Amino acid sequence: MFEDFSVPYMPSENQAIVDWKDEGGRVIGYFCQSFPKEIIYAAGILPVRILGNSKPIERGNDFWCRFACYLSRSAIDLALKGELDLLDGTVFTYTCDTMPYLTPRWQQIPSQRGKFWYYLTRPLRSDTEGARKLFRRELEDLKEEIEKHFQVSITDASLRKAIGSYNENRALLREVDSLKKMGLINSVEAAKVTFTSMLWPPDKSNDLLRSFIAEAKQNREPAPEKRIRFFVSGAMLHNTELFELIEEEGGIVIGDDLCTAGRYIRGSISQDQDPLDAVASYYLAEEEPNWQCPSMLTENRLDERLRYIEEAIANHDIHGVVFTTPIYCDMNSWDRVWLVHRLEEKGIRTLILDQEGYMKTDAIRNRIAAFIETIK
Amino acid sequence: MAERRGKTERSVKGLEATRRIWPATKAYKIEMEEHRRKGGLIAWNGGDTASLELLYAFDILPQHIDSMATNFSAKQVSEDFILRSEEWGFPRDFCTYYKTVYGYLLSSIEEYPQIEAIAWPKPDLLVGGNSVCLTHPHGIRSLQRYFNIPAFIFDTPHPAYRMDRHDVDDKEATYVHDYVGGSYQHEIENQYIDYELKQQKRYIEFLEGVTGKKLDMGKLKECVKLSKYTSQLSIEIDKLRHNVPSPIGGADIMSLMLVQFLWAGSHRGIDIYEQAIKEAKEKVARGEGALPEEKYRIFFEGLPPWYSLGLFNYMQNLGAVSAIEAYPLNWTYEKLDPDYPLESLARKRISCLYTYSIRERGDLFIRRMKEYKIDGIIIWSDICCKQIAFFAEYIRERAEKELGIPGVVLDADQCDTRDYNEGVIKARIDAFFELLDARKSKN
Repeated sequence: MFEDFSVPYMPSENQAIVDWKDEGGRVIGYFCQSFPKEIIYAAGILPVRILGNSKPIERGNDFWCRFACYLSRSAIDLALKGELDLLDGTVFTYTCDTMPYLTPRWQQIPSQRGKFWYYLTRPLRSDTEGARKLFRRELEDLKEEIEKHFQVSITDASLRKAIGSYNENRALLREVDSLKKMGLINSVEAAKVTFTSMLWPPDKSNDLLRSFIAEAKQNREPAPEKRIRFFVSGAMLHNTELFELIEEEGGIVIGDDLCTAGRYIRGSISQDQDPLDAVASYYLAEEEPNWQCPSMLTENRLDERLRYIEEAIANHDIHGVVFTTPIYCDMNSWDRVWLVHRLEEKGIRTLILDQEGYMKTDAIRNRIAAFIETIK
Repeated sequence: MAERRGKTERSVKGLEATRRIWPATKAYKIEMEEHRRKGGLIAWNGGDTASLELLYAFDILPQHIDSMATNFSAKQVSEDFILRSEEWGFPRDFCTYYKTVYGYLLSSIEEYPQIEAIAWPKPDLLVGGNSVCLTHPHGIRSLQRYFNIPAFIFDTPHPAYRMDRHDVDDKEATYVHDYVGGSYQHEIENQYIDYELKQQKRYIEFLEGVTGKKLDMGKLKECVKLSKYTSQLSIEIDKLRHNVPSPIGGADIMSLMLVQFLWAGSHRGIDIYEQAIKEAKEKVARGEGALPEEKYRIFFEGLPPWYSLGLFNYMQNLGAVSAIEAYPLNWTYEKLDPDYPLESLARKRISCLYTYSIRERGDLFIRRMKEYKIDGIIIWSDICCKQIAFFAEYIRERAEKELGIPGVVLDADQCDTRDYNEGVIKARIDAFFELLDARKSKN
């Protein structure tokens, strides 16, 4: 059952995406968790998260800026090598100072030239008067552009249906997360299931998730071994390498606030209000500032992020926090500097791992092993 | 702390007016201290382009994060400060303006007698925004936690790409900008102005709360009028550089920009600009340039390595004058209307050069390169500054393709000397000028 989720993350190699295309479907790549993929799916188009990968960059450093984050360089590299040819368009959003520049550069990649693109600007404070209204207006423009370009209609009904599919997907992924906390599955399995869900049509993902959860509940026993329990804090991961490494050294990831894990599976979009308004509210994370993207400037966001980490540590018997911050990611670096100081003041052990592509290096393995030793 | 490297060469200023900037900087520091003794407030500003006028209207004296960092860097202490910040937890790849300023806060200033004249007073309040970049407002939030003092942070919309999309539909559209500085020819849509105005209202309430005074609208209008005048003078200086030879070089401009950067909205520095214009006009009348012999006219893009402004001398000795730069334009906004100060300031914030889409910014400089008869581009690709580094290769390619103007991209951080190799930089500059010579003789 779990094997169903062990699939390549590269769109060109992912059978579910290839099948979708073969059946005449269209695919739009999106970069950040903060992009409202529900609007794309409501148009009958498959939104696929662009994750990059950890293979050596061949052409991306020349074509793009080598002082950019690894995600952007890896994505450019993959696009230049034809790995993202099946995309019918790519969308970006204002989550850092890289995305506004990546947007036009992306259009200069031969295989992406002339395809649909959209840069979604958005408010960076959820606590500013008029933020949601402004964001709703931006979403309306995005919707109209998709409709115009792809000659489709996005109705309230289709948007509500897409919201329902992704709400269910998030709820099922949170159930998978609970199985991990109960010891029925490990953190690598939970992460793989989540990564796969970022690539598959949500309805296909939901079917498999329901079966996987039922099977795990029925057939699995809580793991007897006592592992060192970690919280992983940071931005995004390209794959499960870091989680694998932690488990191979005797640890397990119990909690996280990553864009490719906890932040991705959080909450639900309200289905009791105007759907675009509900999408705007969800993606501004008005009610849960701890989950806001680190680019957000909301007054209490970072305090809430700290509170969330501290609660996770207290509630799940976590032994230490691993910070994994991409090099050249100022947004996450600001958070990290402050979070590490506050956690260490409270006697919580922290480990900082700079992230730059391939994670399963001997240097990182040794640091994790040493960190585990200090905790034991 | 690491052993300090030897001082790098200082830049030679061509105008008497420019030589007044450093004494005026030191005098401002004394003025700030005196202001505080009398109960006045001091604000540190990070990344917001239109707070100065309101701060001056409330009698609050501002200091800019960038300005502090560049001064420390020019005084050759940024390397120590950066290391201190990294000991405290900042990563190696992080913005060195903030690492320099944090290092200043974490250091014992008695260790650094060379910066006594620019040991800026600590702030009573903080102001920031995302007009320039996203690092700035987060830096201000971080400093708010460090000092535990009030802060206000603007969330300025960045609508440029959406506006670009609208234009794409109109194949006949042209992208003409103001002569210099930032405003779109196509209208900024009302929802963005409204959003900014709502925040500005809150900002005024914030300043009223901090100072215990109500906003004096008459005084604000006067500050906006002064700011407009400063921008107009800045534009006049810029226009004089159309002349061949250019009467003003880059070393002068990088110092002169402090006036619009820090003092826009006050009387400070206006006389320096007026003197610069007078001197430059006299030079033009005499047919004199900034250099004895102007061989190459350069577009100098990016943040210079502030610890090594002597590089301008090196280029000048080779006959190269920096005739245009991008960075100083960011602080120039001529469209301020003193009768509508609040809307003007909202527009100024949204119209900042770094909120332009990359295409609009590219269009602006393609046009300026033609107007200023540029021979080549020297681009500083700042390792820690995304806004600069990402634009470097884009504009180099466009200039070569559309205008046949070659460019060289040099990697150097603005404040961090650790990876700086002046020998390599000079060798690349030499090779670049050889290329320019070859192109010129071919033409």
